[in-house]
Amino acid sequence: MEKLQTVPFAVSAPPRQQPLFLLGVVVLFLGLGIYIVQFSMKQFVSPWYVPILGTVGVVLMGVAVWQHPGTLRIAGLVLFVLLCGCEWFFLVASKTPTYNGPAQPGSKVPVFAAALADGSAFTDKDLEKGKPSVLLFFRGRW
Amino acid sequence: MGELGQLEKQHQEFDKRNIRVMVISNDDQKTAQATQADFPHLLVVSDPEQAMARAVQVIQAGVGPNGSDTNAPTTFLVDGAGTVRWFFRPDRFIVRLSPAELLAAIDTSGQGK
Repeated sequence: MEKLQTVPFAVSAPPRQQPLFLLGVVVLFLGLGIYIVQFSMKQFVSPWYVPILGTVGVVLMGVAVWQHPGTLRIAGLVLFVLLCGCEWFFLVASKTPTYNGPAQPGSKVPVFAAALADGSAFTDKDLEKGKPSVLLFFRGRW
Repeated sequence: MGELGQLEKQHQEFDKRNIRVMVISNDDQKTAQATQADFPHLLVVSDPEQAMARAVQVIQAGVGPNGSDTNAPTTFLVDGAGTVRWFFRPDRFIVRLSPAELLAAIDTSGQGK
């Protein structure tokens, strides 16, 4: 008599999906969160980590969409790619030109006329009255 | 504006070195007065016609409100005879010199008393 071979019947659970998309979103927003903390601490340094983390996040989201495509995921990916692009653009566009003006070390401050906040005149001659000064040009109140 | 608050907080360090800190923007006089009230230990300069900024050549074209020209963030250390001793221009406008870096530059240049 032929012997029947029994094969154990195993029900395998569906492979657990790695929350790559969610991880990508977290990584992207982590960069922005760190920048907010940095800004609130008045640490004004170049936040290169923001677009770098954004790019890592977008790559993770891209892998997630590749593995398990879906309309919502694709729409989310497009949105986050745009956000990441804005982060890169902002950082690259924030470049300031190198200073090549006349106020180089060893040179006199050029002739100028302006006014103090109280309306009194302020000229280059006021910088020659014995007290060293820091002149800080800033972008104003806007 | 964030750097102004930091400089204001450190005003005693600048006083100790007999250094006056002047902050210059293209704001009109009324706005400059408001800035002066907020930061009483700094000396606020109103330069709405950009006369000073153009003389020193710190204008950056097209990056102000509505594409206008405005000051590129730049810091100069000038001695008591009106001679520039040191300057700093960050590579990005979102970067600012910290008071600690400025004080270190003052001490290194020998301008602080």
